[in-house]
Amino acid sequence: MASSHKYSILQNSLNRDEIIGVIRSAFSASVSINIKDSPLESTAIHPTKIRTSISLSSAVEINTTSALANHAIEAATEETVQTFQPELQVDIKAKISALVPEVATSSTADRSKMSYCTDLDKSVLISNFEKRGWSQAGPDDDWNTKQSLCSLLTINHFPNHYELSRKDLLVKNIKRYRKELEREKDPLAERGDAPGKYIYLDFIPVTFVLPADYNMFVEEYRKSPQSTWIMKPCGKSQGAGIFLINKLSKLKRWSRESKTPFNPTLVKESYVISRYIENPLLIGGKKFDLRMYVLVTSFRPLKAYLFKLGFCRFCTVKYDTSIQELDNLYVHLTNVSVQKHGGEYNCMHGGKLSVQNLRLFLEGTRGKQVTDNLFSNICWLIVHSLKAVAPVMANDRHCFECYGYDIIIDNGLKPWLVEVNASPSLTSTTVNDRILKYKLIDNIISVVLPPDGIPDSHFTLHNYIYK
Amino acid sequence: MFRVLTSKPNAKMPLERSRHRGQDKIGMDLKEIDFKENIQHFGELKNLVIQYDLLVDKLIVKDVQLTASNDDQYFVFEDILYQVMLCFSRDTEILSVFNHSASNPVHAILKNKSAIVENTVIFPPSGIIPFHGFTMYAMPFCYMYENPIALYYTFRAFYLRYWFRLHEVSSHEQGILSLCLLFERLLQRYEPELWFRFKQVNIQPVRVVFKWLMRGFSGHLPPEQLLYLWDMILAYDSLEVLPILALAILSFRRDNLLQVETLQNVEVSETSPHPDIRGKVTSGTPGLGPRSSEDITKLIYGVSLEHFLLLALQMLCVSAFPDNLL
Repeated sequence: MASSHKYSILQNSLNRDEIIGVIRSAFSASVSINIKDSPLESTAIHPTKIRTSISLSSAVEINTTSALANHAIEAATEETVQTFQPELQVDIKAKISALVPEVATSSTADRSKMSYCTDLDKSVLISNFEKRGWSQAGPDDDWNTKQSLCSLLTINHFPNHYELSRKDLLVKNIKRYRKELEREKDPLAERGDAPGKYIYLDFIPVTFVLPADYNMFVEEYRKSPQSTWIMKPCGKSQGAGIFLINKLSKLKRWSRESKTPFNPTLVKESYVISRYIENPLLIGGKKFDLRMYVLVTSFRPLKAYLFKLGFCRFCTVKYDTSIQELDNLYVHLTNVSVQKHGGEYNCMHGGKLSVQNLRLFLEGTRGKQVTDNLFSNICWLIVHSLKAVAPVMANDRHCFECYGYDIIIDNGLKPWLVEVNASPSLTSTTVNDRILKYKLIDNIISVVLPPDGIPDSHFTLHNYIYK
Repeated sequence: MFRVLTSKPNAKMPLERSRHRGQDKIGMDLKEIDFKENIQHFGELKNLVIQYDLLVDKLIVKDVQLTASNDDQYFVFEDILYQVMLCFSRDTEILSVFNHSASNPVHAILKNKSAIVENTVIFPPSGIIPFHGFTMYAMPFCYMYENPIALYYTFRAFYLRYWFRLHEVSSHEQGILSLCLLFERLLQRYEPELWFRFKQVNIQPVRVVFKWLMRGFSGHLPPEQLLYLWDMILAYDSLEVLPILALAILSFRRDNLLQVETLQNVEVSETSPHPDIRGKVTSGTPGLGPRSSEDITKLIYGVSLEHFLLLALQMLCVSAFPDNLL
């Protein structure tokens, strides 16, 4: 068993002069390649093969942000803006060989001996590592795969993050969580007047997993036949394979036409179908969604940090609910990977508006109170989604994860959770985007690592705890 | 302006007072305006826009495209800005600025008609020929109003009271010329070292800050801080806040500026707070004003606008303003 997975390293020959920090997710090169197709395809990952996703929520403000911002600004302008690439997981590998006492005593000298190894060449990552004085190591340097995890190891994914990041499992976990609270007669699970409606935990639209819940879906559909539903493949990202339907016949037709017949026993890919949020909040007549970053360093107890910078992704085409536009993805899907192919796409701003500006706009046009309400509801949503999966997550103390939360606000200023991404994209489409992601990675590393910069899983961070 | 004024209940004392003053002033003006009339008038302007095209429409559209559409703070407001700016060009009430101005609007003869007085019209109907960056006077109001009518009237009120002074040559004590002069005098009086340095390397200090002054810092500050600044302009009922802020910024960056050699380096050094970091940050493509919104934000990074203005006012011992304004 030990040989089948590669862990990051503790070298036998301890080089006293050299201390290298390890931040890696342990998996073989072949698994790394799978990233390009679908991060979650290989669901049969051994639990000890740790894959960390970066889900961030950090309210941590570090002193270096000013210098950081400038460094980022310079970094940003020296390189050209990168084209958008598919969401790749962040595999940060670094080696460590450390003599712990030495680590404790020396400070800056050690940090300069840290080295990292990454198979993801993103400037936001590299510039953060170099800023800390870590040197790059090649992927084949001194890998010793026989050792088990040591305390000097930090990995940027949880073993079974798919419980949160796969759309079907997320829904399943939230539904289970709500039922549990209801059984315990927790006031949180109080139900409202409409059937099936929770007052406080109503943050996902009505969703069913297909093909398993097909009959339940049909029953729900028949209750309101005029509504629109959105079909999303469970394991895919970047808006691939998503479409809208407003008639049951369309669904049946799709299942007939698709290459793999919609047979519950045969189908490989499962789908979720949710009620489409037909009244999203529009600014300038265009639909948008929010991307928030949440860093989770532990699930039990739950320690999560919400990054205070986020952005809104706008569609390039005005929102239109007419039937003809139902198939126009530029109207309905806010993923940058979809919108950047549109004719109206502007790479100066990339359709991204900062969350601060959104907040200013809402405060100015709707009032401070409702805006504050909205944002605290968003926090509430994030916390409860994490609490829902906390019991099933493998709570390895060597792991942290940064999630990208996609949230849609409807025109009643109610937030809805669309999905959670375990590997939010680190590609920058604009200069501001790059700065934001740079700060994000910097904050993550600062939160996750102890102040001396050497990974240590015994280090507990005294920060904001959600109970 | 009400919503911005009331959104921060914990404002400091002087600002609080000024906000009330501002509130009083705008309150007075808005009460005089009948809201139904506004809606009707705006509807008429829209009809005029639809009825006939003017050459300036192309200028306006181009301006909105170059400034708002490319700006990551204002691109969502493109549509409403088109409406507002086009209607502005048809509004003949703007001609009232020429009552107390040395300039005259452009008169034109109707096509194929004889050159007599009856055939002369003012072109465009508002008398104001738009220039690149004109939309920036209206952009920040988009954060306060979703309704184009309210936006239009607020923008128009601000224009008629303040912004027209920023782009016409006049001897008025708050016109752009006087503001530049005020800035230079303040710089000489309060930052003599910097003044002499600029003289030595042959940089005109006004050239450094002129863009900021002329645009009222729009596009150079993030919207939230900009609205605070415009609050102050309203509160003190004076555009003199602009050169004071410009001075405060230069004063804050004095150390960097004392080491520059050329005007380009001034822009560069202003954008990197640490003297040892000489980035190659450009101040943005000349054609896109809002790109340089990064400049000032970097300049005053970490210092909020309120602090800046208080610092500036303290520096000037507040006696720069006549007592009856406070």
